[in-house]
Amino acid sequence: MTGGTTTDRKKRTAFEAEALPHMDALMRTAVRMAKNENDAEDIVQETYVKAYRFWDKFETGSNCRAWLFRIMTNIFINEYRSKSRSPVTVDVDDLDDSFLYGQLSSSGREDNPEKELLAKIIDGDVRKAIDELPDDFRMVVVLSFLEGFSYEEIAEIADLQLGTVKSRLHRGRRLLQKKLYDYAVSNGYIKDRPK
Amino acid sequence: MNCQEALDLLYEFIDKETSDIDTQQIQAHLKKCGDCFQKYRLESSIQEFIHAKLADDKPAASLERLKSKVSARLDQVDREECGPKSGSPYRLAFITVAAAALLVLMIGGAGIITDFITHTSTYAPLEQAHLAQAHLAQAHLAQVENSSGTETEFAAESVISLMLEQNSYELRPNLGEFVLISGKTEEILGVEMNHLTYSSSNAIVSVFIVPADKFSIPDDLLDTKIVRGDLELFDHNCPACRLVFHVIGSIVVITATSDQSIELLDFIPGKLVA
Repeated sequence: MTGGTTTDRKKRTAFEAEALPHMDALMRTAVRMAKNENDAEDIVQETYVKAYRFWDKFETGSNCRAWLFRIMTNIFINEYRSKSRSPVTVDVDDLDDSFLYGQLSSSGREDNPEKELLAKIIDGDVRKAIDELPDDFRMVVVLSFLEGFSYEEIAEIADLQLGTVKSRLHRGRRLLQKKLYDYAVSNGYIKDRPK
Repeated sequence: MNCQEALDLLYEFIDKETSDIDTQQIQAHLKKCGDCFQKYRLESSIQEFIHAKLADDKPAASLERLKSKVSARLDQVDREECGPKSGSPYRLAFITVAAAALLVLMIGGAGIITDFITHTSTYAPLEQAHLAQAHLAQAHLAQVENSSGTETEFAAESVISLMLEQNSYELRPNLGEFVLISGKTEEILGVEMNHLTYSSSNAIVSVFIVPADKFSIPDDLLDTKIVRGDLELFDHNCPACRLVFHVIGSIVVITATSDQSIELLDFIPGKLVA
């Protein structure tokens, strides 16, 4: 009937060997992007279906992990990114680069001021801080911080200019620090030091 | 390099994105400037800290479950591609077949159409149930191997006694290199079926058991009937999945595998006992 069975099976085997090992990473990034596990599971499934359909477009030997993340990021942007896109007028510009450093070192008693703060911040705070970043920032921050992709890979994955990646990461970092600092103050981990 | 220049490149330095020359100059600057070094240490430890916290995050949903879901979705894609060849998705094939229907009917044989309809309505759900189970079973076997445990049994024992009690059908726990590893009930085609899984080192056979009054052999298989003693066998052979229907006593036993090298007609999972 169909002569293609053996080739189909070969294709499936090759695909599973190359693509399935990245499921952990895709899932943990999807959870951070979508902010909930149900959507994340759907996104990962869609990613694999799409990747499988386009498997013949994948160049053997090239970076399969980045290719899968590109497909996934695309699905996230097109189908899951919050419909009411948060205005990108995020007020980070009034924060200077070493905001956290300024706040921490003004306490003056520690030689290693970040140690005290980081020891008290809990997992939930980090997740919350990431989740509260606007979608566009969260995407690049997660791809960089969590998955360790290079700027160039992120540009490719998220279809952005290199400069945009850099500036979003930069601003994303400052926002994150501000949020973590605010949690730390509001939870009483540390005392606020007005500038 | 002065402080401002160094700090401007600080994030890129931490991300290992600076050029070799910049990297050397920043390193040199950090060595002699305590203030910048402190900032560097703060930023890089926050970076490491966040990475560690996030990387630890194991999604609560089990990855195994997601894996079998993904595998089932890939099977769907495979089936679309191996289905009627006139177009890959069934829907397209359906239109083509429907368009040909009148012509075929006039010629007098509606076989193609019924084949096709039976394929999607009867065989596909069974194939799908088999494939989903096969992936789970493989994942489970891999786990068992890794943990060098012996916990292969789920409900195999209880299914054996249940079948014996209800239907006087005695299941064989071992069949050549195949071992009965699990059993569950599942609703397929609107009927509650017992779904058993036999596994060898490299293949899976599903066995569905259903009361004969709740399941009739698809018409297009009647030609394939083979009689062996008290057993009637009907054979459905498609590239995606092979199905053999056994009518025995008051039950229908359906065996399914996607491994074409297994001679499913010889895979007789049990016998009637007095």
